Amino acid sequence: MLQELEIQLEEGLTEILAFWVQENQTSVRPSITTVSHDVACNAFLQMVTGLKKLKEPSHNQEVAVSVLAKEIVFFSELSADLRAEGYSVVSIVHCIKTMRLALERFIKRCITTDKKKFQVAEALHRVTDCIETAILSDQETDDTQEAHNKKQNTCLKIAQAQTTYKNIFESTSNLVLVTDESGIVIESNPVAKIFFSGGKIKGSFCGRLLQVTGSLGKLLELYPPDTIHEITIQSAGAMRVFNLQIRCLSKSYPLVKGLLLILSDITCAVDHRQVLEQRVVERTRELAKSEKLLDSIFQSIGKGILVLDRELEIIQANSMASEMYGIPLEVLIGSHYQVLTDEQGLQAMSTTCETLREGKVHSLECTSIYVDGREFPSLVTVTSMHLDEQEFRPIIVWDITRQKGLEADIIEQKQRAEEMNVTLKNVLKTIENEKREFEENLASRIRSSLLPTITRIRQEQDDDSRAGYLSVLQEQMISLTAGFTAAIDGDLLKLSKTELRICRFIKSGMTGKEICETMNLSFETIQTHRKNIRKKLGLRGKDINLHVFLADKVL
Amino acid sequence: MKTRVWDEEYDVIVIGSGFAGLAAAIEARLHGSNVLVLEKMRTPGGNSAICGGLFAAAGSLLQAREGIEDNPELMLKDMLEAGAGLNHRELAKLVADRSVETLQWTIDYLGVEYKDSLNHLGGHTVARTYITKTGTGSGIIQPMLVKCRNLGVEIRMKTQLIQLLMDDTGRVEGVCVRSDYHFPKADSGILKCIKARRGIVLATGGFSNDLAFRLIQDPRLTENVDSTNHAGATAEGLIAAFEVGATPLQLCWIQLGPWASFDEKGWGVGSMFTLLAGFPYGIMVDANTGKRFVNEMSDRRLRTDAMLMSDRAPVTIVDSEGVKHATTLEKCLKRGVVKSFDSMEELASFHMIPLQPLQETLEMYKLHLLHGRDVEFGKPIPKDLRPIEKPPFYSIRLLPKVHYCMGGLRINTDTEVLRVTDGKTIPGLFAAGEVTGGVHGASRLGSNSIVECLAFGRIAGRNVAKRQY
Repeated sequence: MLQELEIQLEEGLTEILAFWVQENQTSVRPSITTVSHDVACNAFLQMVTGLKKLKEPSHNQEVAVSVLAKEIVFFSELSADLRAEGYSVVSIVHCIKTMRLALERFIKRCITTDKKKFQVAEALHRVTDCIETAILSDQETDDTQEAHNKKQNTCLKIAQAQTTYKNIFESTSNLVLVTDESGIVIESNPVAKIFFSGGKIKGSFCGRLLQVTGSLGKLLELYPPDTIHEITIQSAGAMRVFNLQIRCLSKSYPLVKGLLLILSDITCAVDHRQVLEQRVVERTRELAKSEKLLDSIFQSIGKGILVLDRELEIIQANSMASEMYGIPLEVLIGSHYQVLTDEQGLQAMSTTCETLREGKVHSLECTSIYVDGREFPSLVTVTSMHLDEQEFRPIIVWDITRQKGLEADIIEQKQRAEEMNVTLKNVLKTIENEKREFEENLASRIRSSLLPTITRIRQEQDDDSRAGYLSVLQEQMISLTAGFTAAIDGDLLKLSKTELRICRFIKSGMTGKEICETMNLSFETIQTHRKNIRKKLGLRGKDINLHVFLADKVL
Repeated sequence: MKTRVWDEEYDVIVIGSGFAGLAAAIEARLHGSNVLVLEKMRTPGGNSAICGGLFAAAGSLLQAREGIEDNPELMLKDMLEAGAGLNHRELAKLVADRSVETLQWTIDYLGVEYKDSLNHLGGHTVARTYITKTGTGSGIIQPMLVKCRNLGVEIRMKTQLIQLLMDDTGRVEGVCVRSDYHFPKADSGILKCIKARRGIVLATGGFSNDLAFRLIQDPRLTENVDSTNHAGATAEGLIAAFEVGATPLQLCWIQLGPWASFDEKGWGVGSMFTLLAGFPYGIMVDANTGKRFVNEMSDRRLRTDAMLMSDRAPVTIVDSEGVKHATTLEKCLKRGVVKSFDSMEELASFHMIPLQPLQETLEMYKLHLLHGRDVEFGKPIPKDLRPIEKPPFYSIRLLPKVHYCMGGLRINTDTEVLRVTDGKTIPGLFAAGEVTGGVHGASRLGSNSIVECLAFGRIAGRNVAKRQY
């Protein structure tokens, strides 16, 4: 029936503890400061369990004592310990009273009926009565020898513990300050004394020592207790860096006010750290720079770059490769190389990859496939690379559609040139043949008609007949020239060398005077030659201009 | 009358070469138009090429074979539920109704190959998701590109849309583009005007990677939030449409993907692992507590909201049985996105998960499976779900990333873009795919996007080819 109240009591332990601390602060009697947080909690729990056991209001005192045996033992042991530490029985009983007050205050605030509250409060009284009685009766039996020994033992233990802690306190390299609740230093260890040797330590505000301006509240706000902070303190002109840890003493000993400040010197570590940080920053910057450089080269190069692993899976690619194949980078990376080429290309690539040794470069031409199925020729350069004991194949892909086109053009042109060559050869051959035929023809005609005529001329005595033969010879010779573009005029053959030259000059339109100057002959000589030419060409007495006559003649 | 100088002239211009764009191009070509597809990136396909290739269809052949009862009404119900009722019902209904028809079109006409099993994705009542053989969207994009080539559809890369051009009557008659544009250099390339005699189909996708525009719509999605999208998922298509008076719709509903990996950028290989194995066959725990915190199969919005709450460090764990459903396991292990462990102790110590709570979680999960009901979070428990017991165990660290923009342009069921001033159609302007809004409401269910893009893309292609001016 009182269950909900019990649950509330158990759950409200922290609140009860706070009440208790308040009660102690307001009371005139000095409180027992050596009770630790754990012990206080335990004591309250013991009281609450006692309450639970004493549910029935009808129990008389003796029954109650027997029911609460366990709790009473706990408290008498606790009181014995406290007495050994030098606390009077009155203080201890007072402490029990304040505990009761705290519990009562809490019970008042609990959510339940007033009747129940009253019941519980009554039970609480009975519990504390039992405990108090037990403690007081302990005091009476305390004079026995056994108890005395026990007391001495405890004293010894406490003294030992104190020495140990004193030693730690004095020999630690950390600076330790103990302050009261307002932050005024009440104790400090030797290291702290040496460090803060410039001024008075005891009695000064800890914030001043830590070179923090403002009140204690601000200090605690800046450096919340129970966490480690870094603090810089200037001492004798040098900056020292400390790890500062503030602990509230009330955390473990609820009735003690004040703070414990532990400062450990980490100046060295901080210096090292700064150097390291600086280095890390520098290295990171350099790395970022080279990465950026590499990436910009990797991405902006006009050729596709893929990195394949042993199974020909693409593990890295640049955006040019992605554009070339029409596949987004996200998909391209992680795809198998086979989606980019035909069967032959894949075969060639795997053979190349298997046989390629590190440091070698191998190029192959293969067909690549665009995402929509269009095929294009490509030149692939494969290299090999080891990274973390893994083998990779960086490959560079080059779309050679244009090159292939140009190549095809060149081949076509070459072929055409060759054809032309053959044709020309044929033409030349024909010409050669014709020439030979012509020469043979000429030779045969010379042999068959000219030579016999000449022989006859030589044998002939008669001038007339010789003249006849000569004219026949002339006609035959003229007939030989018949195949040429313009038949050589029979008359022109009669002209002498000089006359022929003069004819050429006349034909070109030069006057007699100009001709005689050019040929370095006298005008008269030229005139004589003219007369002879006209005579030989059969123009004597005819009204034909020599220049006009020669115009269509071949000279 | 203004007279413009046109550099080129086509019947139909499609902007964007993803699912919606190519579907529109193919249909328009088949209906007798000569078509030009513009793509600003170096490669065709955009997000569609890198997505997971998941296709939801209600009432498919595989479902019939597996004995799964499903129909378009059920799919519509799922969509409306995840969409929190923000969906424009007639558009959502169209997607559900045409899902099977569109799926068959990809198989029969395009020749897309799908795996011979269905997947059950978060937020769907039943398993209704096909996945391409390659496990990526390029398994559909590639056959579409081949089709385009064979049909003579010209696809022009590195051409960015600058402006939609209107004539005096308010009809969109052409586009101003930057040809030979080098993404993301804003001023690269040369301006050109291209006329579209019949119309323009806007299929420019979402703006998940457009930081400036994204921040306007949802200031929480800062540069610290990664995206699963490709770099070109930006808002200029949407903005060009607003310029000619289109209606903006639910632009701030931007979806984050819950399955993306913490250990890689973008969509990566981890997303598919979590999507197919991690969530359906594993559990997601918070590494700080070792406890589950959400139904792994709920819709994406609920999951990401839970994952982003109170400094959680989500890790998904799956055993050697569940991992069989993953398609990208080897790649994930190779790139260190997924880690494998011989025992749960090793896994816990690697991720610094408190071991005891984790083991309790696994015990509890096993109990739920025995009872056939997840009383904690309500994860649906199909028959083939097994407790996580068989080593080796696999784990993946997760980080929600911006994935999909539910909002966009307002269209009618004929994919005509509606003007903001009077709600009437803007002549000559059609839109399809992620650039449109209203189909998915507050949250898109996984695998509903491909079907939406293809279905509306085809409608847009057919309708634009019919126009004569």
